[in-house]
Amino acid sequence: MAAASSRSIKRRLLASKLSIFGLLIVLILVITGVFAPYLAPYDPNEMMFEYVYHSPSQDFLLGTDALGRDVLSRVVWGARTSLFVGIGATVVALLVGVTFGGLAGFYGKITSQVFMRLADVQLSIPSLILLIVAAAVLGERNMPVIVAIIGITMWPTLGRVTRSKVLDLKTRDYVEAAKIAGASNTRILWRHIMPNGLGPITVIATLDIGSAIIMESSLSFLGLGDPRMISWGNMLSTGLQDMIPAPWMAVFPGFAIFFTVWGLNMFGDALRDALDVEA
Amino acid sequence: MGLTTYIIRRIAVAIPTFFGITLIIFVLIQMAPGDIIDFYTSANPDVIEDAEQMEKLKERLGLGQPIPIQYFKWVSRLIVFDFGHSFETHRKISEELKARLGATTALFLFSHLIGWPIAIAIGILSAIKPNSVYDHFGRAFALVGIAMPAFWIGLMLILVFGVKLRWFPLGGSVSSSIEYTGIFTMMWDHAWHLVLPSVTIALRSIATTMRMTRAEMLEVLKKDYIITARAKGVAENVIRIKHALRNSLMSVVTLIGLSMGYVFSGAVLTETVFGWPGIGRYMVHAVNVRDYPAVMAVAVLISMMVLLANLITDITYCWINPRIRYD
Repeated sequence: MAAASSRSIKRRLLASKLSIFGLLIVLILVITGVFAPYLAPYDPNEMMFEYVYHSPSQDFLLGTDALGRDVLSRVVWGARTSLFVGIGATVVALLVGVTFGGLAGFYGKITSQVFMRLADVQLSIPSLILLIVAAAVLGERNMPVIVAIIGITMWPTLGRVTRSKVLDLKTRDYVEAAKIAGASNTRILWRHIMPNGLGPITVIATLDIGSAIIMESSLSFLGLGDPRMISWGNMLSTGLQDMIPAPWMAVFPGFAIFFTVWGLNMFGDALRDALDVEA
Repeated sequence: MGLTTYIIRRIAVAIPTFFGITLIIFVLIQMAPGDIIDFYTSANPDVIEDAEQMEKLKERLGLGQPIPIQYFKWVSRLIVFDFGHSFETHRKISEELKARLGATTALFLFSHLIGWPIAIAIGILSAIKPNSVYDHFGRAFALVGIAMPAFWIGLMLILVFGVKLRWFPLGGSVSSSIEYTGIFTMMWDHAWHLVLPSVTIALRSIATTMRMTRAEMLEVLKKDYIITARAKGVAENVIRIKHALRNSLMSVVTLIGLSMGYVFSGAVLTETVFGWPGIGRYMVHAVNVRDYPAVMAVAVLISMMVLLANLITDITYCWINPRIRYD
């Protein structure tokens, strides 16, 4: 991948139709999330009691819920929550994973053993189960904390990849050369190793954004998320209860999750092909 | 290295993992704000009147001891499947779990029964005929299946087949209004309730297994012995079934073991959607009433099953394919 210039990566990425489609969906998510206040037709929390369980119509494109709130406006605001969750959790996972993985790869055997055993053990607990236990412990569930724990459950994969990349790169000649030239460890790690290990890390991080969104909505669906947030998972949780009077409540937030994660996965896959990495 | 040595070594690796898992779960629970005892009393507001009773209760729950001692006592009881007593019902948690494990197992078996044949069939077809209708269908299905949250698939199935078409019940594991007239009507009723939740879990595993089967088949079909067989004039169908399928199924079978984690996470969500009385729904309920011993028990139980499944998978794989041992 060292040979691939950024221009040829861009060209290869844009050559695949799926990646453009995926990118388009991701863009829609970002725009919707950022401009939610301008895009939503109603205030998402405004209760219009004369329009309770109003089925999808011209006034309410996706219908209303049990409290007469506009479902479309809530789906739009939910995009903002998902964007925050996806990016926030991935940043946490990157911070923890790249730091631990980098240290484990760069420094000797014991550091490596400690971190990698921790990763192994954590990977043998299914992440949703770990998240449920963590959610059980939280006194008050608020979104930033939930985002942080989702990020922590995702670190092991990033940690492993970073470690193996560092292990591979640190024996390369140019790293040896830098060492002989008297470069410090920090400088070698950040200037020589990280830029060349970025490919697989980028791909995994892209795919992690989607997983984080699914994890948050799963948690919220189980009633273990932040109940005050407008999130697609919370909406589906009430959608399950109101399935018979208002089936549309269970349909649209699910489509939102599906398209978002689908788009991110397609983009991540295309990125993997364009960067020519195995991740 | 013989198989026995391999098994012993593999188990020796699993033991520290077991302690690691229990330690993570234990430490997490210790991080709960406030005292565990507060949760006990909030679940049972009538039991505590004065400080003296509080001390007695602490004694009984083993909460007075130093934390490392508490951990070791808890782990040593875990090994004999003693998970302590539920804060909520005061019954033994092992009994509570035993009452629910059957429902989860039924879901697990039924979903694999539906999922695997379909997944393997489509996988084979799309490997034999790349870029055919099957292949395109398989690819699209895999992308869609992975991006759809399991619980939403369940919701949509209930909406279409339960609410609209009324073919299947909306949830639960038995009909409350039916008097059973015999064993067959009872089994029929159970099976009828099992369909939608099982399909929910199966769809997800089909999405991954299908692509895996395809990839393995394609890999094997490129091997020299396939070309040799073709050159000998062996019929194409015999090559596909006898030579290629058999060899590719080996690695597909290991997926059963490795997919356990997904299956259990999926079970927690699916059981909640369908009101299915299994251990997943029990866990969510336990979290809501802050029944900590029960939360810990289910988390440990599920992690142990995943660990055990991985162990069995590795050993089976090694038994089928002895070359792996030398790696």
